[in-house]
Parts: sequence; structure tokens; C-alpha cells
Amino acid sequence: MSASTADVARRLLVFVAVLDVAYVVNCLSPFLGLKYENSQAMYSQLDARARNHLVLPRLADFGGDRYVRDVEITVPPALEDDARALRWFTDFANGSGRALHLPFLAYHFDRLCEAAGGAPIGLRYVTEQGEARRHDDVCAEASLRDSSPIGLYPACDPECYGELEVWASGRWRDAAAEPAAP
Amino acid sequence: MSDTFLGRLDRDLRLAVFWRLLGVAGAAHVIQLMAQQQARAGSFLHHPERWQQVVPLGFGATPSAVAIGLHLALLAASLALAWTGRPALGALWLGPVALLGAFVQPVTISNHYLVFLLALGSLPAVLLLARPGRGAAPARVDACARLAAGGYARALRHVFVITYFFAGFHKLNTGWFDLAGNAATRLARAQLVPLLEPVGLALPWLVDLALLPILIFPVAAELAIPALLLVPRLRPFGALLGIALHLPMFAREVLDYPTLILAFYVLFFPEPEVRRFGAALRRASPGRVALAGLGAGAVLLVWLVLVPATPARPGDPTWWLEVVAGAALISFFAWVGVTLAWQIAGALWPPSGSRTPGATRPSSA
Repeated sequence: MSASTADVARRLLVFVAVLDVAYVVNCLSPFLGLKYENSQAMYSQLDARARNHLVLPRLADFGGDRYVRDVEITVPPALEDDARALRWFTDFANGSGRALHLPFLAYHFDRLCEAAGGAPIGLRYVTEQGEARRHDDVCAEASLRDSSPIGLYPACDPECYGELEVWASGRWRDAAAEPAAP
Repeated sequence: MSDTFLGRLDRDLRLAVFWRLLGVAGAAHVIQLMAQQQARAGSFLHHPERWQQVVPLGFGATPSAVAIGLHLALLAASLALAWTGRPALGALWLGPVALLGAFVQPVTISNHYLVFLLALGSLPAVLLLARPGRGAAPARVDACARLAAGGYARALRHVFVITYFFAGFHKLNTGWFDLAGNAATRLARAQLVPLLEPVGLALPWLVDLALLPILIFPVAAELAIPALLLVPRLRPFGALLGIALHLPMFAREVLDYPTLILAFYVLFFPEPEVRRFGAALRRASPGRVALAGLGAGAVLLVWLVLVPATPARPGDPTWWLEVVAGAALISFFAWVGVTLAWQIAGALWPPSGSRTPGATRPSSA
């Protein structure tokens, strides 16, 4: 039996309300530690962890914004070539005081682990709380290899889209080859 | 869901205009991707892989190449449908385009694709919720189609209001209001100082003062536009402010977002007003043509003058495609803006002998 038009109108109102709530929560997600991308914060200069807002403080911490500093990766000698671009990027981040989103690195760990064929890949970093951590073999830890096809957070904090472009275009080789300024 | 039911949604002029503009916004996104990202980060056919975003498929073609191929085919089909009398069906086709877009576009504009997805993904949901049932009488199909159109337009208006609110709200942060650190003011300062130096006006306080509107205007406009559009008497002002906010973005090689978001404005106006406005758009007068030409020309001039300061590549054919598309969009929205301003002026200062609210000036004006 077909629903009455009043029922149809009610269903549509409920749908719109659910859509509104879901979209508002999505837009608040940087303040919840859920994600940053797709939150309509583009070009807003809102900090990746929403710590610089003038009105709204952080509301919750669901742990999505796992940023780390001073990242060091060690690979077997046979993988040095494969790791060079990533190392250029982590050196840039370490040198410029940027924090890196740990899940962003997971894609690269997975790629390197595939090529390593069982050889260990080491990782060291400092958490935002200042705690030094060391992983002797990221390939043995599934959580460090899980990556999302769509980024949920900017790779760096503060952002580094320019450097990502340099990396993506292959121009990092020229940058790496440039002699250091005296 | 019968074709008749879907077809009846096409009778809603506001939705038909919205879907057609949304199709154009989809094309603007692809053109911008090809023109800019290809030069910045290599071939756009494996763009996300270069940004280390996508896990390889495991066979010859890259995921992006497959996604872009499907994207272009679906976009062409939806544009053809939208502009040949079946906009609702075109919008249904455009949905997967938005989904694929999330995988082929760089991370910086994933926000756009969420708006696309909400706008297009809610269409099948609304159709499902308002379906009239098999063999329903024509009167019931009509009633359900009206409810579906109304519910869908309401959902889209809410998406628009929430999008604008958060675009402004997120900017209320110390980074945005830092004149020295804000990316927009940094770029503007780099372009402004060399112009002011030769005439001795590059004084730090004067430059800071000149840059302040860059920080304040977007936030104020993003928070004010939805409020203005929700008040019937102030709707035309809201739309005009929206065009004033977004038109200059074209001059910064940003075709995609303004086209996408400006499509939503039509949903805030009642259908008779949209119909009258469409008629006014088609009625050219020398004064309006000159004003729109001047406006569009100024925006284009800024774009071309700024080219050396941006990563644009005047020798690149895809960049010229972007310039041509940009010029067309700038001209169209300048025309819409001038027509709107003309109507507002006509309502505020009606010609002698006319007291009808919303009346336009005589075409000879």
C-alpha cells in the first residue's frame, strides 16, 4: 500500500534533518579529532588539529590526528633508491619543523615493505607529547601499513602542499641535487 | 521509480537550472585539473598516484586513468542529458562523476566533491523516499513529484547554508587574521608592494590597511550570504554579494568552486522570480552589455596580469583551454550580476509611473 502524501512529506523532512546533522558533524570533525579534509576548512588557515580557532575549542579527541616529528626511516641498502623520495620529504619536514601525519606515511611503508621482501624497515619519531618512539620493523605492524585511498588529514602541519607537488612532479631530485647554501 | 516521475522533476525550473549549472561546474573541475595539476605534478592520468594517494590496481592502467576515463564519459553523458531537456536524468548520471572526482582530484579540493556528492547523492534518496508506487494515478505521481522537488531543493539549500557557514566560521582563527602569515595576504602583498614602490606609497601601515579587506570581506560575506538569501526581500542582495565574492576568484585561476557554489543560488528564489529573471537575462540593453563587458574585462585583465605570479603556463594548450572556459564563465556571471544589480536598482528606484516591486528598468535605460 502506498504511503500517504503526508507520510511522504514527513519522510522527506526526516531525511533533510539527518542530512543536516551528518553534514554539520562532518564540518565540525577537525574539532573532534576525526578528520580535517572535506570539512569546508579549505584555505581557512585553520590548524590541522583545530587548535587556533578563536571561538571554538577542541571538543573531543578521537585520535585521527596522529602527527609525529623528527621522523627517521631506516631501510636495507638494496631499498635505498626506493626510499630516496620519501627520505627527501621527511628531511624537509624535519628541517622545517613540520609534523607529519603518521597514516600518510603508512602508504609508503606498505610500498617499501612490499619491495623489502621480508627485510625489516625501521622507524623512529617523536610524538606530539614529546615521547620518542622506535619501531624495529614497521612491516610487522599492520597498523603502520594501513592507508586510506583518500587523505583524511593534511600530510604536514603546517601544510606542505608546495613540497608535495615538488615530490609528486619528481622535481625533488633537482632540489636534492642543489648544493647547500654556504 | 518511473521515468514519468523523474521526468516531472524537470518541470521545476529552479532544479533544471541548478542541474545544468552543476554539469558546467563538473566540466570546470575537469578543465582546471587538466590545466593546472598536469603542469604542477606531471600527467593528470596518474595524478593521485603521484600524490601517493591511491593503491595501484595491479593491471596496466592506473586507477586515475580508469577513473578519469569514466569521469569524462559520464560527464559528457550528463551534460548532454542536462542540456537537451532531461536535466533530472543528467543529474543522476552526474552522481558517479562526483564520486570518481574524489579519486582523481588532489586533496586540496576534496571539499568540492563532498558538496557535489551531497547535492547529487541526495537526489536518488529523495526519489526513493517520495516514490509514488506502481501504477499510481497521475494526480498522485504529480503530488509526489512536487514533494520530491520541494524536499530536494530544501536539502540543497541546507547544504548551501552549512557550507557557507563553516567556510566563514573556520576562518575565525589566529592564522587567518595574521596579516603576515595568511597565504592570501602574503601573495597580495608580494604583488601590491612592487606596484606601490615606484610612487612612494609602499608604506608598511598603508599596505597593511590595503590588505585588511582580503581578511575581512570573505569571512563577512560567507557568514552574511546565507542569511541574506533566507530573507525574501534581501535575496537579490545576497545573490549579488555572492557574485561579488566569487567573480574575482576566477581571476586567480579558480574556475571550479565558484561555478559549483553559484549554481545553488537559484534554489533560494521562487520559480516565478527565476522565470522573470531568465527573461531579463535574455533581454540585452546597451547599458547592461557595457557594464557586464567592463566587469568581465576587468576580471580577465587581473587574471592575465597575475599570470607571471602564478604557476600558470601561457604556452601550455591546456592552460589556454582554462582561459577560454574562464572567460566564458566570467562573462556569464558578470552578465548575471549586472542584470541582478539592474533589477535591484529598478526595484529601489522605480521609473516614474511604475510602483511595482521588483520591476526592471526599461530596456532603453
